[in-house]
Amino acid sequence: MKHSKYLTGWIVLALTAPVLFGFTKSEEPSAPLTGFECSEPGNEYYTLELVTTKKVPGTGQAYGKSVMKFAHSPFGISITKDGSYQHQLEIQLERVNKPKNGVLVAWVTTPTLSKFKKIGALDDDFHVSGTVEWNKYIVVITLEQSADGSSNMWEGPIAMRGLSKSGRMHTMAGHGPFDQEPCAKYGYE
Amino acid sequence: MRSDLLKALLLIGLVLNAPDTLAQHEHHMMGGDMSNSDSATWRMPPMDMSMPMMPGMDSELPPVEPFLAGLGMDKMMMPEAKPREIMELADGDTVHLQATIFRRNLNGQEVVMYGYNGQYPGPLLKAPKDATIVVEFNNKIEFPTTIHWHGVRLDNRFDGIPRMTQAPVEIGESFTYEVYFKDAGVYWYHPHVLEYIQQDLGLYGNMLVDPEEEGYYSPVNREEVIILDDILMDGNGLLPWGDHSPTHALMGRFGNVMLVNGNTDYTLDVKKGEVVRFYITNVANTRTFNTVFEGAKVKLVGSDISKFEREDFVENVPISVAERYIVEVMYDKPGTYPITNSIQAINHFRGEFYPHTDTLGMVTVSGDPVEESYTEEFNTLRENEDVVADIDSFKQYFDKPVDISLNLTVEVSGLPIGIMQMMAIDTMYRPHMEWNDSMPMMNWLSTAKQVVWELEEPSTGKTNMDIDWNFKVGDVVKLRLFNDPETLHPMNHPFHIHGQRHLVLSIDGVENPNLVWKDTSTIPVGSTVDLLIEMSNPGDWMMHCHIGEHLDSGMMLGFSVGE
Repeated sequence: MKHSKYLTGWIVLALTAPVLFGFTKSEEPSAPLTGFECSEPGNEYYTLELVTTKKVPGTGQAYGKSVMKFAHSPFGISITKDGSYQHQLEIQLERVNKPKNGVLVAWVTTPTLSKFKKIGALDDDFHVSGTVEWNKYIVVITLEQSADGSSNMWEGPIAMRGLSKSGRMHTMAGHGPFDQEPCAKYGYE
Repeated sequence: MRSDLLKALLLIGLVLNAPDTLAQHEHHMMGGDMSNSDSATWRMPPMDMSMPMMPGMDSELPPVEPFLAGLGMDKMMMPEAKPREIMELADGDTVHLQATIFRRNLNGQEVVMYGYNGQYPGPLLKAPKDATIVVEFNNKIEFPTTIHWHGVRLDNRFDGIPRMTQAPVEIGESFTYEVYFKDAGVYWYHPHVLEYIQQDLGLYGNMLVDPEEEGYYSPVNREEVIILDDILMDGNGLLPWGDHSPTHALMGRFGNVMLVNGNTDYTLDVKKGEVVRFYITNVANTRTFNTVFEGAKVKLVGSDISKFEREDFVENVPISVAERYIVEVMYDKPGTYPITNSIQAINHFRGEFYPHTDTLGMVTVSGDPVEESYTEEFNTLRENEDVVADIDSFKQYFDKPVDISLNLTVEVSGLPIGIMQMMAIDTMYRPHMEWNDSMPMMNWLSTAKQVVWELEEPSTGKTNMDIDWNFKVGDVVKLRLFNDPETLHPMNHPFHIHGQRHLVLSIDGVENPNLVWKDTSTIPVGSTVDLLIEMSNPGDWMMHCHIGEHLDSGMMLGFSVGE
């Protein structure tokens, strides 16, 4: 029920965004796609791709990546007291036009949308960095009226989103060697 | 609401499924404690009963012979194991160590295990820095063996590497080691022959090297030297090991019984306000612990071969196989607090992370205030100028080009087709670290006959012992390790370098701002880790993954350091 309310809210905001934020037409991208460079090869595997919703003007052709590295830790691997990974995210968008009104803000949320964390507003180069302490998460880019909002949940329309690589983990019930295992037996619909 | 419904359905599903799952596993659980018989039979490791057995796998067995200690021997004639003793040593002292077989009660069961001098763990050897001790070693176990003095920068002749620095010590034979303690800190000793069996059975002990300087560490009320371990048991005792070829070659052999200093019931009584310096060593075959001292404030002081440049307060202490950490822990509120291993485990069948906690021990804090308070010293984070000055002399090398590289990878062939198929699906996501045995049966069935873990030199294509690296004393070498995530089953590797010390300069290009001298460093899946190695100790040495099953599946190389 709660999720439906959020969903409805996003749809309404996505549809009304041009009015709210003053866009009239999506402009052509001002810069060519230059690609993204991960500084080290290991990061490529965990790098998550951000995909446009085509719902926010100026981001219809956008492309983005979030490079994931360990947050610094004296132990090399960085994990929390409960064993969750602590990652440093470097979020970079390309082929984006700067919004005429409002600002693009990056967030992370859990796949069940049970927790939210604001990473921050993207800078003029459409880059922002921050940390996340969940093992599975979604990076969300939204268009907000202001970067200073104190809300721990976005209010504007979603421009882009991407799932952490760990989101590829899924139940094997009904798949591969377990294709005869009924999903319902394990609580799946 | 929906989440609650899902949980309820899951619970119902698990309950309904449990009898079926038990029946699936039942036939593997035949046989009693065979450690007193003439032969061992395979028993499948305990499974997570919420996971169904893979179809067609229920009759599979590892393609190696099973081994249990003490087969054919009269268990009741064996000596009973004793707890660890502390040996205070001075320069020039001689120690007698004997690798022995004994019986002991572990987790409520009578089992046959190994130990040094009949103790679990082996004796704690305490000696001052710059001391040399003589160790008269005698082998009374069922295998040839050696002793490796892990992290100690001693004379190459005494490093304990079979067929490299010495011949294996045959059954009943002896060998004399001279162990020179160049560095203060905590170290450990263990066999370098079939570690996955011998070490798992209890052949390990600590060395605590006292610094020369007053005030090297902050004052504390007491010191505790603790060894973390795990061992795999079922209702019939210890699970058999592969005889001369390891099972669990994919992920290493995780235990299901947690041990601190060889016990399942570690306790410590302290007074309110007491500061305890823990010297922690992880001797498990493969398990990385995420150690949490509940109810206490924790200060990180040192690791393998030195103190950190700067002390730091931490909430948890992740410790990979063979690593050591030195932490100071202050308990300032009365109560009883667990020391835990707190992880996010993976259930591959469900495709989920889930929180899991093992209680490693309990600390009881009385209401009596400690006689001498070190609260002020504890709350002061020290910058260790001696360590900073030492490391500063190596800064000129930090930006040098990479000298040598290794890709960490694996070749898998010949596993049952169902396992190969499942691995292909399962590894759509490769976690940075394996914190639990998330696929016990597949892991158990994999042996060194099907799994070859490789250190691959990209410039030559050579792997493992075919790699031929030669250095000279005084060389400072930058080694880049890349743990390839695009293999069939990548895994984290605790990478150990013998005889030398190294710094972890960076992980994935991010510079390490607080350095410490190491001998073993974690290489997570997908990561690129740059190490700076000081080649200071001449001789023929090894580098290898310290997961016992990976080591015996090939993941090692030799290198020489010339005078």
